[in-house]
Formats: sequence, C-alpha cells, structure tokens
Amino acid sequence: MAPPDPVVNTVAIAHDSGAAGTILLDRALAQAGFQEGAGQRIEAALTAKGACSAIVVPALDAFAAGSPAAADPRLVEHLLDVLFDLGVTDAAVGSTRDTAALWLENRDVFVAADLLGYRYETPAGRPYDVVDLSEETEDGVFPAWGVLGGTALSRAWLEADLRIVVAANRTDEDDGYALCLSTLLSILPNTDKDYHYRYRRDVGEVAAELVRAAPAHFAVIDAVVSAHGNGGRRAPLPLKTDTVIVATDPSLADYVGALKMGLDPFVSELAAPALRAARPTAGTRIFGPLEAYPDWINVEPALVASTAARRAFVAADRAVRPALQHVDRDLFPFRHPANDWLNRALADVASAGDGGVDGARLLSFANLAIAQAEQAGTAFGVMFDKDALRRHDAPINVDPATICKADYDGLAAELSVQADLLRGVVPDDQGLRWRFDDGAVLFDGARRYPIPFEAFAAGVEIHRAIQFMNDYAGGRALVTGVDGQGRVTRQLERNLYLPQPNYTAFGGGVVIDVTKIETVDYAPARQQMFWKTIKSENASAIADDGIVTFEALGGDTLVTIWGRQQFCLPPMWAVIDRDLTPAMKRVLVAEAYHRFFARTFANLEAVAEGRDVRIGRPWSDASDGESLPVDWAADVIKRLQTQDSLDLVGAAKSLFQRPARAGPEPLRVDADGFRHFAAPPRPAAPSPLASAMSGALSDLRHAAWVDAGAQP
Amino acid sequence: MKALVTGANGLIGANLVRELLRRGDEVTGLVRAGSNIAAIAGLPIRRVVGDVLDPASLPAAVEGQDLVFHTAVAFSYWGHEPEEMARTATDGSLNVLAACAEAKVSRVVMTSSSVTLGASYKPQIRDEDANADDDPDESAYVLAKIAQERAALGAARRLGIEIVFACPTMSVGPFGAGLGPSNGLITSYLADGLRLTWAGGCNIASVRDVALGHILLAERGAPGGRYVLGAENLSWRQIHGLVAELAGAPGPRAEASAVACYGLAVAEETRARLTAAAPLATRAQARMVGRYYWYSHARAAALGYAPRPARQALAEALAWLCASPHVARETRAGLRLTREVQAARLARLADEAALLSERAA
Repeated sequence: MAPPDPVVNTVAIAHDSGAAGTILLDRALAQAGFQEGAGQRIEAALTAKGACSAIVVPALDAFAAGSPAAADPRLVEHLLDVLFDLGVTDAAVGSTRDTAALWLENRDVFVAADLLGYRYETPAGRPYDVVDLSEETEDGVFPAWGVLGGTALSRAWLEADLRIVVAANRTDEDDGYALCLSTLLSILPNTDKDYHYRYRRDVGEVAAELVRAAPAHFAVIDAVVSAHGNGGRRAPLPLKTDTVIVATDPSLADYVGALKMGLDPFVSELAAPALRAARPTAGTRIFGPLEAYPDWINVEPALVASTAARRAFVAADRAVRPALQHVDRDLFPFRHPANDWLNRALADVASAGDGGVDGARLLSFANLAIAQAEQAGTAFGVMFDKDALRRHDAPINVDPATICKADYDGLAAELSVQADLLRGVVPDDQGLRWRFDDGAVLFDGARRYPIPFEAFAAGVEIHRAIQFMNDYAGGRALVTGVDGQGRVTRQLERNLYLPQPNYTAFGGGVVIDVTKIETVDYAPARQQMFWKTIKSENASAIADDGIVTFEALGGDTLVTIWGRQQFCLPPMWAVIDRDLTPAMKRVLVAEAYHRFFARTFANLEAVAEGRDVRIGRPWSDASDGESLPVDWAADVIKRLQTQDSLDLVGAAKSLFQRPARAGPEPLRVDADGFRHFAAPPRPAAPSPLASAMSGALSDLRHAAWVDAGAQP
Repeated sequence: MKALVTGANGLIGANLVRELLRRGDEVTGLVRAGSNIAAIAGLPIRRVVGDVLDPASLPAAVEGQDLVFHTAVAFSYWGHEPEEMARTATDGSLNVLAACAEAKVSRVVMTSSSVTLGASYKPQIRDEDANADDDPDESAYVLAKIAQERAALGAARRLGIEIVFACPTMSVGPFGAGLGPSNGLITSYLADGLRLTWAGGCNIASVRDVALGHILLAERGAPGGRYVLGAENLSWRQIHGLVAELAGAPGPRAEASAVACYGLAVAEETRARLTAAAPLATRAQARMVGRYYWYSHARAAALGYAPRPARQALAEALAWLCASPHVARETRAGLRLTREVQAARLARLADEAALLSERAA
C-alpha cells in the first residue's frame, strides 16, 4: 500500500529571536503538520513491514565547522530524535561527495560529516548512520528521454519511507540563493556535480526532474544562523536570523525561503522550473511572518549574472572555483599546491568589502572577462575548430504523450505539397534549387553516390539522417513507432545545430534548438524521412522542416534533401535588413546552402563508410568528470620539462637565474695567504637547447641552399 | 608453405599476411605485446607475441617455418628515439637471423627501404646500385635502414642464410596499426588548409604490390640482392594533385620553399609537444624537401613484378584513410570522393570478405 500523501501543501515559518534552534524547529514542525504527515507515513510503513526507515539529507557542502553554509548538525540530530519519537526504526543522514572533493581532501561523506560535527548519535542517545548515497544505486528511475535519462539514484533514498531535506539558509552567487532544491542535488550520484548537473545539463531541469521522480516528503530550512552577503556559500557571512522553515515540499520551502531573503524566488536558474510546478495554489497554507530578514544582504544581481556567464567557460570555471572558496585548511587541505597558492592569493580579494560588495564587483568584472573570452573562443570554434566545441546534451523537451497519431499521419502529405513549390526552379551550377516563402527558404539538392543502395541504406540509417547533417551539435531522439522489421517509423527528435550562419557566432548567435516530429517510409528501393519542427526551446528557429530521400539509381544511390528553414538572427545581425539588398541576400543564402549541402553530403558518404561524423568533444561520463585544469596545466609543464630539445621551462628559468660570480672560489687559503684553486673544468657539453639551436641553424642553411637551387 | 611475418600488424606486414593467406600459405604473425593488432584481427593466422629485440621470444615464432619475412621496423619521423630506431633495425634483424639459423630457416626476405639507395637534388632515377651517403644529417630512420642492411648482409653470410632485401618506395594503402609516414603524407595534404606542395618528388607504390613483391622476392630474388619495389616516379606537385583530384579536394595552390617547410615543421612539432598529438610534418621530413626519391624497379620487374599505377594506389589508400580516424572529421567533411575511390573501398571490402570466407571454407 502506498503511504498517504500529506494532507495539504504547508509551509511554516517559526521565528523567535530568543529561542534556540531546536525549539524553533519543534514549532515549525508542529505548525507544518509534520507529526500528522510524517506520522501517517511512519504508521503505514510499520503496518506494512514492521519497520520504518528515514533519510535526512542535510546541507553538508560547507568548508568549516560551524559554518552557516551548512545545516547545523545539532538541528539535524534533533530532527532525528523527533523521527525516532514518531516511530522511525532506522534513520540515517545521507549525502554524496561533491565537486569540491576533487580539489580538497577530507570531502568523503563520512569524514566531512564527522568534521562538520555529526556524532552518529542523537542527543537522546539514539544511534544513526551516515550513508553515502552514491554507493548503492538503482537504474531506470528517470524517464530515458528526460534530462536525467540514464542516471541512477540511491536505493537508500528511493526505499526510505520518509525522505527529508535540511537546507542551510544561504545566498549563492550561482543562483542567488541555495536552499532545499540545491541541497537535494547532493543525492545525485556523480561526484563532480558542477560538471554533470550544471555545465553539461540544465540545472533547473535536473532539479525539476529530481523533484518529480524522487521527491523529498518534507523540507527544512535552518535559518537560525544564516549565510548572507555576496559571498554566499563561497565566503559565508553569518547573520543571526532566528528562523526555521518547514514545508511539505522542497520547492515550496525554497519559494518561501527566497521571499524571506527579499528575492524573487524565480531568480534562481536551479529552482525556477521546479517552482513553476509547485508555486502556492488555493490549497497552500503558509504560516508565519513573510517579511524579509532584517539586515540581509543578497548577492548582487550582476555577480549572479556574471557567474552564470562564467560557467559557460567550463575549464575556467573549474579553475576559478578552488581559488575563490573560503576553506578551513586544517579540516580540508587542498589536494594540489597550486590551488592552495591561488586560494591564498585570491579568496579574500574576491570577498572584500562590507558584505563582500567590493569583491563582488571585482569578481563580476573578472567573470565577464572570462565569459567574453569564452564567447570569442566559441565563436572561433564554430568558424574554424568545430571539434574543439563541446557537444550539447539536450533531452527531449516535449511530452511524447501530447503528440497524437494524426500529427504523424498528416506529415508526409503536408510537406510533399510544400516540396512541390520548387518545381520550375532552375538548379544552379552546384545543383541547388531554392526560393523564398514567407521569410523562410525552400531549398533542395541531390547527390548521386557510387555506392549500391542496399550498402548505402545499411550504412546510413535514414531515421538518423538529421544527425548527420552539417553542424549538428547534439540532441536526442525518442522512437515512438517501429514497423514489423523493427525499423523506426515515427520519432520525436530534438536537434541542436551550431549558430547559422556560422559567422553570427561572433555577434551573439546561439545554437539552433529545434524539436521535431518525424516519420519514415520504407520501400524496396526507396526510403524517405519527413520532419517538422514543433518547438524551438530558445526561439532560434521559426521553421526547420524537411524531407530526405534515399533511392536506388542503377547501381548507385541518389540522396535528395528538401527543406524549409527560417532561423532567427541575433539582435546584432538582425539590425541589418537584408531584404533591402536582395542581391546580397541571394549571395549569402546561396553560399550558406552550398556549404550545407557539400558538407552534409560528405557526412552521409562518410557515415556510409562507417565513420563517426559527429562534431565536438563528448562530455565525460566519469563520475569525476574531466581532469581538473590544474592537473592539466601541471601535466603540460611536466611535459615541457621532460622534452630535452624544447625545454621551455628550463629556458625560462635560466632567464631568472643569478649570474655566476666573476671569479672562481678558492679551495683554501694557506698560512701565507696564497689562495689555492681547483684545475679548470673541462669544457662542458653544449646544453640541449644550444644543440637544438645549432641544429636548427644548420637545417635552415640547408633549406636556403635548396631554395636557391644550389646542391647542399 | 609456412611463413613467418615479423611486424605482422604494420602497414607492409598486414598486407603481406593477406597476400600469403590468399595463396593458401600457413602464416604466423609476430607482434609485440600490447601492440595494436586491429589490422590483422580476425585473420586466420597464428599470432605469436614477441619482440625482435628479445631473442628468447623468437624461437616460438620461427620454429618450423619455411620462410621468414622480416618487416618489423620503427618507421617514423616522430616519437621514436634515434637509438631505439637503430637498435630495432640492426639488433632486431640480427636476432631474427640468428633465430632463423637456429631453426634452419634458410631464406629470409628483409624489408629495407629505397632510402638506402639515396636521393638526388635533381630529377634523377636511381637503382639498386646506388647507395645513400652516411651523412649524419640524414634522418634517424634512413641511418637505421642503412645500418640494418649492412649488419644483416654480414650476419646472413656468416650464418649461411639466403637474404633478399626488399626496398619499398613510398608505400601507400590500407591496413596497418597506425598512420605511417607514407600514408601520413596523404592525410597531411588533405588536412593542410593552405594546400601547399613543395619541390622534389617521390616514387609511389601500392602497399599491396609491395606485399606481392616480397613474395616474389622470396621465390625468385637473388641471395644478397636488393630490389626496389616501387611504381611511379612523380613530383610532389603531381602527387598532391592526384590526391586532390581523387578526394575531391582543392589542388595545390602554391609551392612552399624549403625554408617555409622547415618553419612549418618547427611550428607543428611545437604544437605536437604541447598537445601530445602527432605533428602533420616534422623537421626530419622538412629536410627531405627538394630531393627526388625516384627509383627504378626494373630489377624486380625482371622477376615479374608488375605494380599498379600510382593513381590506383592512391585511390586505394584514400578509400581506407578517408574511412578511418586518420583523416579528421572536419577534413572529411570537405571531401567528395571520386567513383574510383568508392570502387576501391567496395573492392577492398569484397576482397576482405572473400579472404575470410575462403579461409573459413
């Protein structure tokens, strides 16, 4: 029997400037109906199996004992006692290692919990466990097509009869605030949470998915002593706020917690999607004062925005965070001396001033500089080095259940009529036909491959054809129909392409993000796929529909691609009205589609040969993500030092070496005052650098002779 | 016939193994532990793990063989220390010959190189009577091959083994554990956005013909003889033009001077050191600019050696390279392979399938 849901969404805010935290917690729990709601769950579990387990996930991501950035262990242990009093038979505190474990020692869950003050025994003497929620996990918790498809989740969390998250009350430069939803991410298994759940995926979608699939039953915000100011979690500034918030839903707790900070709860990228699904409704009850905490300082919006921009530069962001984090080095020493050195130099600078205001402004400026470098680098990559770009990991963003059979059935007829509009257009010298239609471009092109149809179709799965097109940068497909032979006949697909045209990347161009419905028809000597765009998440496209056809032509294969596209230009490019210069527009459009067809057809040929044509670098699936920039830099320096013929480090060092003294030192001075010297050393062998230089000059002389036509 | 191929997973070795199998021979392949054997994976041969530098590992491979093809060599202009290259060439060859003597194998075909015949700064064709100078400025590979020939010839005489030297020219084509310098010259041109060519020239041969040539020398080569296994003498501009035509890429736009080539090689080596990647060109290769590595294969032709044209050899090489990671994705996206190249790919796949099915039958 499923445990009953709590009666109604409730939030209780207990505030009393004279009361202890545990008293405030008791009051908030009572007001929120915790005893009733939790009691029902506990009773149901005891009835069903004679035992009841509870897991409490507290904010453990602090870097000093007693830090206001962590939930107070005394409060958590008091909560455990409340649970035991209600009948829980087995309670544990759970968490996982996070990104900081990659650059700090002692971030193992058990050690960190110990260092932060957890005693494995409640004040009433009941023992409890600390568990690492990454250790035993279960697959299949999240829908395969969603943002967390393929991610496992802790079995202990899933099987617990009562799941509670306890957040610290803190500001945060990533999201404005970091409360229950942020803390809830600590149940996800991968160690490098920033890498897997922020850089690689949309953190808001991650949090929303987590709340949907494996929600906490109750949420607590420990706001007895809070961490406010611009530093947020990074450089917590304690403020006594004498408040505890308890809610029946972590999203609701965050909503109210943000209001108490005087913030729009939706400023948080992490929380916003979950909040939209859980904002207060008619049945929601909120008890207690909603006015903002006195003297509270929030993170400057410019710092939040600039930090978000900095995150786009993954390597730089990973390099910067260890340098800025305030850390108790005695508890959590740095793993790499370079990080230790950088941290000593920079951490205080970035949090200087009253509430960290001066440091915040300086940091915002630095963040924006990093972000600008990233944008320039990305634009360069889009134009000249596509394989240096990261692939996009974008889940299906349309519920498959909302697509009906008629949507699929009508697709081929609808598109075929439009394809016929190119009839009569004379192909240009490269075989391209195109014309405008309501601001969109209708186009088609064909290539004959000297490859038999059967071999071509076996090598190139037509339902994946879009993934082989020029500048495809990532996405996902969800098969929704197959034929009797198991071939895909219907699917939903989300595609991301590099900015189009590529040069718009230099002026704010974004990836083209389109979600399509698709159908595929199969005949003995002909296969055809149809697609139509139904959504563009970032409003980058108005239309991106098309048809691709593979057909036998003698012993060859003819591939035809028809399309209807209309992409939105970024503001900087949109100010140029290209309709005013139709000749120029025609040149640009023709050039863009020539390029599209040349590279797409080359890709299809390469796929037929068995090649992988995906552009960009894949994300690492390793729990620790990729190696940290500090390790990478150390590796490069080591490599340079070990290259005898190119000892750049040695050469650089030699520039700063003090010159030897003019004369030799005497071995001894005898009684008569004569100084005795060792015999002069033999001439030393030339250094590797000198040898390399000499060799290079000899080679250049040789090359010059060759160029001059003289035999060396 | 039972035949051993050392370096069976290399470019020449992997093709030689296939040609021997097609003849119905029983083939043993010697490969080093941990080496990439993808080029011979799935072939019905006996694989022996050993190293020509480890004499104790050789008897297991050599014992019972009628013939030994010693192709194992470190052919590289990057990533190998000169001493290591020389040791593999000379000590490795001496070890193989000693093992052959011990196992009573009386005939060995040793893969040398046409570079031991030297090169000219004028478009002159050299033959087996020519010799490279012992110029210390020559690349480590060239010096190693010269030393190998001398050492092996002396040892074979002492041990009473008939040795025949195959001297392949620039052998291009499919298979092989990695991208060797010969196929690398094709991929470098395709990856070069500047589409540069340079002075000098080279003799281009299909590695499949080179493999067949080895078998021919095993049957008919004169003991102690050197035989050039090449095909067509072409200038670099012609070679790059052919590669461009076959791959559907732009032809050479300009001829880089030797000084410019050297500068580019230095830049490439620096990039390679920083990124731990292989350079597109090296200083050792840049020093070859302006020379003509042109050779006559008349002596081998007199035995029946009949290589295919360079164009076909390049088409076969491109068919394999363009389907492999050796041609970068971005480079591949700019190509439009000709029918000849696609036909070569399909023919290779058919040959491979036929070879496996014949042997299975």
